[in-house]
Amino acid sequence: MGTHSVMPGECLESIAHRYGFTDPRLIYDHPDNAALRRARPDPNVLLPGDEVVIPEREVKWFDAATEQRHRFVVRRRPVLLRMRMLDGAGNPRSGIPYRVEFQQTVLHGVTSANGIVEQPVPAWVPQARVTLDCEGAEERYDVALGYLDPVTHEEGLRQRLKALGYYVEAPGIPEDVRLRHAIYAYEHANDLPATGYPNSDLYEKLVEHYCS
Amino acid sequence: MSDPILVAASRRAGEGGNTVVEPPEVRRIVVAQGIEFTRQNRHDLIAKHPDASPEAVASVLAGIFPDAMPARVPGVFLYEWEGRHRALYYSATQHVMYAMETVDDKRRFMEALGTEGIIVIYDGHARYGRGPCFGPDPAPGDDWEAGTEPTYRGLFRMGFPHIAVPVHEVLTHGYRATLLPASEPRPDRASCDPDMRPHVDRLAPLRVSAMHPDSAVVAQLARQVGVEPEGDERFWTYHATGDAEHGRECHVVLRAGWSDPSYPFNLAATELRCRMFCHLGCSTFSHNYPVLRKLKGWKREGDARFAYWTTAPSLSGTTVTFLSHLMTYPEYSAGESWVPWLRYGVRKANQELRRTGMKYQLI
Repeated sequence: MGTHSVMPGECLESIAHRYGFTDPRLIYDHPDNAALRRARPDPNVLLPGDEVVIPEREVKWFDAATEQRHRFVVRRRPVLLRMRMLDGAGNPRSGIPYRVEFQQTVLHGVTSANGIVEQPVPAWVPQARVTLDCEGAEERYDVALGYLDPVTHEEGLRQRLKALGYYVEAPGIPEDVRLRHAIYAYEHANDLPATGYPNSDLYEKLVEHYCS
Repeated sequence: MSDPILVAASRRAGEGGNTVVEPPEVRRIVVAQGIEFTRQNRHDLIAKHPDASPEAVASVLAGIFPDAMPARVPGVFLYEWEGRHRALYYSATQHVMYAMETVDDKRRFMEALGTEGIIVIYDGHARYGRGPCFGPDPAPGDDWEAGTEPTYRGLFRMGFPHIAVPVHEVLTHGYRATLLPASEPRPDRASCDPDMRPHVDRLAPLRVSAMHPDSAVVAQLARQVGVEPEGDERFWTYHATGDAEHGRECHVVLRAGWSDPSYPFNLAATELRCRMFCHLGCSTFSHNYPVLRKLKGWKREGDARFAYWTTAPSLSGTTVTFLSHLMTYPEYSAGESWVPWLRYGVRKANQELRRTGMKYQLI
């Protein structure tokens, strides 16, 4: 049994892969990770510095005859990059050809009726580029996988508000103002009391809206 | 091709997938507040009149940018940074982010004119068409003309080469005036501001001593003109009734010079890169539209180089009115032509001006 201190870009999927676990729940559901579960209800949204207890791997024994071939199947859920692309009016951007690139791999697809981009990307890949081919004009997104921070942290708030179009990069606006305005505008647009400051209603709505 | 957008995602997002919305269009707006029209000037005006009626105070407050915006457009976020008042607003309907800021000096106004893609609105005196004029303090002095620090204060010349003003205007604002000497040829009609053209044939050379019946006033005027009160130098003038308060009086012809190299801060020397320019001072369609569009040649180009003006003497607060209607345009607008958005804003602003009894329109 050991402890792993979470590094930027890590989530339970990548930690499980690193320690040779096929099922991340074996780590997350371990009794010694009760505190982690309370603090991080989504095992794939951790904060750098979080401590994860890594249990001993269980050795499985099988009886098998010699001089024969035996087939062992490991069942694991594929790790997917899944993004829902919406236009500014909130409509799904459906039927758009796209490609997902990481390292030497290029995967092609077309966004679904719900605007979904979905492709398997191994747990150890830290970044993928999604390129939408919008009638000849390319729109590119560098997706930092596993880098999503908890919504209760400033960076996590900023990441979600940026993806949802509320936090914009504009010259001459200090970062703290951009974040406060993004919160204010998001609250205003989503019928929440407009405070401009982080609060539990905002967290809840953002997690629901961003699906993480 | 634009830079990739960095998005942080979970390796196992919920069923819906991490939601990524197409980034909004950012419209940057610089509101240049002229002398006597700065936010501070307007608040000082209220402070100087403690006996003013609540209605009068409310009327002034309702025209102060950006302070008055949240009352008209809920969701406008005000902040101050580097000593300048600013506002942000995201219209979910339009999917447009408005990033607005105030400037109150000539240098920043000129920088804004030269900034690609932005909107510049001048809110201040038209100075009889001479151009936007800047200064922190509306007290009489050179900030009403060339400027005590010409880089930051005084006129940004945007008018016809010759503009006439009544003598009381020169006296009231106490600036050093550059009158057109009668030793120079009578200005031709085309070089004169439209307000002056009907009087060109009646221009008469006058000594300063003949411009006003009061010798004390003549002495002050002579100081501002830079001549002796009893001197023999004559200047081009005409007599006319400027307004009811002052009645018939002498008007003097000034060098205004949108392209006069003697005044480096002028329109001819400025490369406009902004996408839209509005001059909301008095009667600017008559004074400055022909200069910008015809003489300078800054003409509309497709979905760029928009310009808006006023048709008659205007009041402060027009900026708040116009912007609030633009910001509440009820259609999707991001990445689309600005034409429907601007048409809507102008139409709604003009409806409001008419409804509130104003005698001017945006054009």
